[in-house]
Amino acid sequence: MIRFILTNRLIVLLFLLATVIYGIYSFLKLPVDTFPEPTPVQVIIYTETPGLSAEETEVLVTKPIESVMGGIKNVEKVLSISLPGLSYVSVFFKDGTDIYFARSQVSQKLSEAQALLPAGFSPRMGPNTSGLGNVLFYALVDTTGRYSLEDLKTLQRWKVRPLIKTVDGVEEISEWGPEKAYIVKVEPEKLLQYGISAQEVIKALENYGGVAGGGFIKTPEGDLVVRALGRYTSAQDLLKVPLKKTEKSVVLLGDVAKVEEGEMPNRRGAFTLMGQEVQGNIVLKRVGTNTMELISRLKEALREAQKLLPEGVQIQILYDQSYLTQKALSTVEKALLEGILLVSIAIALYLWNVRVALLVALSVPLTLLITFTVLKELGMSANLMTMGGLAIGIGLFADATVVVVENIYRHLSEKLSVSKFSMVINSVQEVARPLIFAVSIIAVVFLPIFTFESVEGKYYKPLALTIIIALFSSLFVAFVFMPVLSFWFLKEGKEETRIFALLRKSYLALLERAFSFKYVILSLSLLSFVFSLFLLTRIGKEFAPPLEEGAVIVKSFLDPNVSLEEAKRVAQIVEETALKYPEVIRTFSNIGRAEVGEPEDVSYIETFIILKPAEEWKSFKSRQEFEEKLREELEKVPGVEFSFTQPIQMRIDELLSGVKATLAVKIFGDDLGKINEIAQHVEKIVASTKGAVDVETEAQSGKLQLRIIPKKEVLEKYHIDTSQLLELISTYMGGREVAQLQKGELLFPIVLEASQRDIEKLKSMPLYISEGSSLTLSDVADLVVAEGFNKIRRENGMRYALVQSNLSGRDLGSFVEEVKRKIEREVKLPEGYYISFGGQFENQQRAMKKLMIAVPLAIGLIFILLYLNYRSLKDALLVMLNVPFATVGGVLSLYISGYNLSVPSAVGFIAVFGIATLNGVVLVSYIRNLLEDGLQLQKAIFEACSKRLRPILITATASSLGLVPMLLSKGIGSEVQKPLAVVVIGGIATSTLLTLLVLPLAYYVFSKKD
Amino acid sequence: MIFLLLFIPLLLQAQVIKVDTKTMETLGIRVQKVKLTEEAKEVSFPAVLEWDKSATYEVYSPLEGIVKKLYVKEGSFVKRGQLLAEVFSPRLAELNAQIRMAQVKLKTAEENLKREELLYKEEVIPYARYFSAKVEYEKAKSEYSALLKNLSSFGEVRGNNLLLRSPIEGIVLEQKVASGSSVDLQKPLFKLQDTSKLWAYAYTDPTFSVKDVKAVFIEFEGNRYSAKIDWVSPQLDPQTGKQVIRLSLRAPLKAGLKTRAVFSFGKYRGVWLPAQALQKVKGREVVFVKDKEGFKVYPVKALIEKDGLVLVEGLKEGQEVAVSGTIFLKAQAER
Repeated sequence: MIRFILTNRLIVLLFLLATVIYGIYSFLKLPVDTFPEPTPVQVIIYTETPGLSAEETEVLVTKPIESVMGGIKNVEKVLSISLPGLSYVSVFFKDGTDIYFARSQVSQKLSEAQALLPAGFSPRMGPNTSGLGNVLFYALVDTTGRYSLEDLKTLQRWKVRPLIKTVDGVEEISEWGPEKAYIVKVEPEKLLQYGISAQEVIKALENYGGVAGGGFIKTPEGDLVVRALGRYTSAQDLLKVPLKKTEKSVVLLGDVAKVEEGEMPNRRGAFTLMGQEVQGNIVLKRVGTNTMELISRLKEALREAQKLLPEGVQIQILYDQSYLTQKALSTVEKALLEGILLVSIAIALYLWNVRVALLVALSVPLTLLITFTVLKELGMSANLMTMGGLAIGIGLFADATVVVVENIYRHLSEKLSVSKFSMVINSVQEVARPLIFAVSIIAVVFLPIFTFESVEGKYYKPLALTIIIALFSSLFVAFVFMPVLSFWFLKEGKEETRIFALLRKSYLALLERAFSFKYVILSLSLLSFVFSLFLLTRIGKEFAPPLEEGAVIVKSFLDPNVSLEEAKRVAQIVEETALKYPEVIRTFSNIGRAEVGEPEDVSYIETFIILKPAEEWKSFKSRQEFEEKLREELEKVPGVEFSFTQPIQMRIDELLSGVKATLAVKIFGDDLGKINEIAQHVEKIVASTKGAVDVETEAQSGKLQLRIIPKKEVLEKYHIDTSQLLELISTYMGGREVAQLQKGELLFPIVLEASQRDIEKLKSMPLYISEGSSLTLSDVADLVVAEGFNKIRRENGMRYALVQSNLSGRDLGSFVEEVKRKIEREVKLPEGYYISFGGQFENQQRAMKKLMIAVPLAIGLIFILLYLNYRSLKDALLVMLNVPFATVGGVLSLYISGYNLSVPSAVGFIAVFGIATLNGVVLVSYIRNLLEDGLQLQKAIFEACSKRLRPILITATASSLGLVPMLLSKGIGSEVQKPLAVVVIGGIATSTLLTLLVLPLAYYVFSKKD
Repeated sequence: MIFLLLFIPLLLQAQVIKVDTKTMETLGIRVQKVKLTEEAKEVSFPAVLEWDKSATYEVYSPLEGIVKKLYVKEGSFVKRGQLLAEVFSPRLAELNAQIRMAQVKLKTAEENLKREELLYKEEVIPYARYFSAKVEYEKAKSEYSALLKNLSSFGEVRGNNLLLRSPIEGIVLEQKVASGSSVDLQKPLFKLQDTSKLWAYAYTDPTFSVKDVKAVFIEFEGNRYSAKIDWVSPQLDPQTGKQVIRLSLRAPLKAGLKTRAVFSFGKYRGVWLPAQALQKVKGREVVFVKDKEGFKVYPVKALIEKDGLVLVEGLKEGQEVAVSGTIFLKAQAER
């Protein structure tokens, strides 16, 4: 094989060139993303239920939909929220289910569900977007003061939207701001005066504003299309609509009503920028679309759209996810480059030969280029995790080449009297088997990561896969390119520098000393391992460190009965408070919901605070400190609860548990009142626990409603049916569109509104006028103001109340433990009620459970490989000693650095186990070889230690140095990889030390007896 | 956080909500000084106005005849005694002829009497003959005066025409004839109405009692006109099942107007606040009274609500009460 490669070296060289070129091409074309898509496969079904209270929505709509959807194959979980007027059900499918399959299943079942719902309610599927689908925010800003918000919305709807909507990958655009409408303000007194009922007004408007087709007519001019045009074209038109005709006179709409240009009533949302309301939009991406590419397409489309807008109206891009991606990737790329540089320098120092060092330095980019090619072919994207994987493994990727090239170099320097050609072949063949074995071990170690599920699976599987791909790429580089390059490029030289010889000398002296204290040292190592296990229990636990996104979100929770105007004021306060800091670039908020189909009301605000890069921060050092400052300042706002998070973090939290906070305590039970009561109690407990911030119980009750209850007997007497009454209410109160007004190409809705929305006035709304007598609304219905439920949440058919909390200055694991203990002690749950914990905690628990299997599995796999290689239980076990050795360093460095035990640090442990075992393999294999050559035990050990010192040190130095840039980086994205880097560096440090000192002792002690 | 923990007990105990002036401003919390007023408790019901039937007049011609001339038309305003119309009456012509004949007869009788008296004084004729002439004369005279009386009984007369005048000040509500129409006792010429007097029929709940009503008003476009309860119908309106109450009033309003009747019961001392000022906290009605640091939760009693205002009892003069943006204070108070 090697011979073949060497004989065809010119072809290999050409192949190398081709690989480089295609690799660079692949790298440039590799799709880029921040994260691997973490969204679970979910389909959202929403049903508008105008007029229904939350309880009614739950019983009449949500429940039937839930029961139908629960029966679909592969459905894991059904979450629902029932609100007054909206049912919102999200169906979660098993990971790996095809989203389009899931959607078609749901859409089939939808018709079944439809049959179970009261007539008039039709469930719809939500947009096919991911949880991180809010990729781009933009606003239409008028700089001239000539355009109203309604005008801007019209521009957005008719000019910008069509352009953006056609961009590939755009699923939907949430558009905020008031929609222009013509409002007919009816004065009930006047109606009463003229004896006109409210229904007559509706009917007249509907009847006079139509368009009819009359087919074709033959005329001398040709065949003409006949069109009857009754459509209203101005407010004046509307005023002239006749309502009532007698022989003598006619009452026109203008007599009883005013027509105004205004906004569609019942708006439940607004968008503010820098404290002022603007017309804001959020572009939702379709599942499976590459964010970066989509955003660049969107920016292009927005530039196009700008040209269509009148002068003075600007499209301002407020936030896009690509900026984070760019930052995160540039952080990782920088770390990668620095890593390559550091590793090359280190190796050059060890080998003290520029040619060797150059070859090694070359091997890493070559490996990466091949990896990029494979990634591209596999359809994976370059993201924080895949690139992170490369950054982590940078040292490892040089290993294979180091071994191959170093061996060739050694043989060259030994000046054996064979041709260079056969010598290269020999040297490569010599190391081939152990090298493949060693690389396999590291690759195998990462296999258990593939058992991960959910988010951690989605994040770390690509990472593991990338490392495995890169490891095998590095083997390929070492076995195919390096022999050829070495053949041409390497020259004999001195084998070792004087410094290294000195180092070796002192090491051997130390080892000799150690032999005299072998039992002391062995027991000390055991003790240190036990101590590290103890330390491990003291380390905090969390799912993953938060990614620093360079932006803060303030969530404001207001009283459920708050008005949009009042909510806007709160948004203004939050934004103004944030804008006082010079570090803040801009702020914007979305209040409530843009359109129907979202379960938020105006009592909920999300304020985005976009920060300058961390280097420019002066008033605060960290995001936490900034949040703390804001929290303190916002304390002065009465009646509002605030909570802090980051844009993507919030979305991920929400995806995981349906809650936008780190910890969610869910209180399950039947009685809404009762679970809310328990929730209040739990809230107090959580709030009193150290580390809790932003504790909030979602207000499920306390929503005031005006109930209009028809008096059946009265309705019957006058032959009015309830539907007439309902139509009246939906039109005058609900803002139902009764007709359309045409302005140019645009159609605007016409809605009716009682001139004053005052209960007394409403009561006197004339309903039905018979001969000589009139009925008002209050005659046929009771109007009662009552308190009802605001939001009913269910999970798999069980109602629950929700207490959410974020954490500051404490790890999640111990916090939850404490809260759990307190709740158990203080809260008495009635039968059938139970409490569960969700949010990030849920993930951490699940991930930890998986790790409990994955880590032993990794160790087990290593052991099996070792055993297969050595066919000796003892040798395999001795090499395995490196696992506890690495644990000691990993735990110690984790403890000292203050990072928590999280998924990345656990992955770090898995990685370091592989690397550490590799050290052991190198040493033990060599000892075995020497023993086979007939050397005496202690001599063999010393000889092996002396010979293998350099490779072990090179591997250790390279692996840990490769991580140093990541560890020192302050850039966005580094925080996720840091715990991993800390563990690997710490683990390698101790395991190398122990491999060099303790492993020889242990080998000696355990082999002596044989 | 610690900051918040410190305040929790404070908020719960004293129910004081801390708000600084700037935050108040941005949140739109405005205050209003309490000004106590005497306010009446009122209820209102729909009412329909009609003309006061006791102030309606129909103008008839006392004799059948033909309308010769109309001096007013429908809608004209008339003063008392103003000439409305002239009606030619054949009976009046006949009467006039009779009067003229009686006049001639009287003159003849008078002359006859004078001659007979002279003859009698000269003792040419006996007393009996003189007496008979005297009787004849007296007869003619009384006949004549009877006819005259008859004529004057038809009112004002000009020639053969009757003159019809308005008995009241008011408006010609209806004009039922034109020039040349024939009229008689069956057919009125005009309907006159004193338009300052109205009746209002109020349709109230059947259980509504007028016993404690202190005053009644008719309300139209913000104006109030005081009225008197005239009559409470002994039976319910058969169509709507409502109780009918008739009110009488003087007002520049028109019959047929549908409006509201306001029944006022007694007076209360309180303050009118925008309805937003009143909030329910933990089931109690409260307002928020400004003090140095923020707002105090202040329990009150709401008496009447109308037109977006609420009459509140229990506040002191000069206190400052939050009247907008109170939802924030409420939410804070409910924590």
